[in-house]
Amino acid sequence: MNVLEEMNGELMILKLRDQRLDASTAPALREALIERIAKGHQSIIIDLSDVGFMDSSALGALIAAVKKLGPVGTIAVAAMRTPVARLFSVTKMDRVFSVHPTVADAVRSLAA
Amino acid sequence: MLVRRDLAELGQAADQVCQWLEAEVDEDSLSCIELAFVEALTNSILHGPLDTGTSIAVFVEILDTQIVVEIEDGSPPMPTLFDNAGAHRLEFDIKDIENLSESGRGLSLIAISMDEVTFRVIEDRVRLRMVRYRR
Repeated sequence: MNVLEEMNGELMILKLRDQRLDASTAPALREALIERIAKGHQSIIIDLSDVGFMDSSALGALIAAVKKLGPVGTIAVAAMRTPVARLFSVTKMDRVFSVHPTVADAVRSLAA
Repeated sequence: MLVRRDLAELGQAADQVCQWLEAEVDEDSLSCIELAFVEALTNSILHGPLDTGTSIAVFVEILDTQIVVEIEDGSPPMPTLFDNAGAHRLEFDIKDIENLSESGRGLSLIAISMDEVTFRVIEDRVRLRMVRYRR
């Protein structure tokens, strides 16, 4: 799992560098997110701009993270490409995650 | 195309299918076919027969009116597998995230992404047949 981590105040920004997120990478994605939540990070922005494909297994990893975080925190997703945005839309995950067109928009929203 | 029963093969197999189809369909159709294919191939790798010596066969047919993707993994016929799949299975209670399922969306995503999903038998071998109409 290729993840670039950056802090913006209390916000953690994770840029996922893998072009494909599927069942072969979902366990590592889940672990990467859960590990950071366990360390106390409660506001996480996931930059999906490099991700051209995501399947239900990877979506499951994101759901595991949002459940681990619970109501105390927020996971935002930003810069989704069309196929990924479609997956979020048809599975209605755009109601579960805070969705933003850009990372800057997500930062503004979560910092407010 | 033959695919080893290994999740690490998913990306390469999907890239190959997309390469065959990218000049034939629009981007939206291509992403739908790719999603359905990856979900189906993942199921074959994870839940297909345990004889890991047998590869999974993938067939792609480009017709005037439709694209056909078939997967043959050695499984027996499962005629009712998709009976309850569809958009209604993706509904959930937004107020109950704690109990939101982390899995179980694959079959419904296949059903939503393709226009026809059936099984057919060729010389005693079962193939999952997924059809997307050309728009």
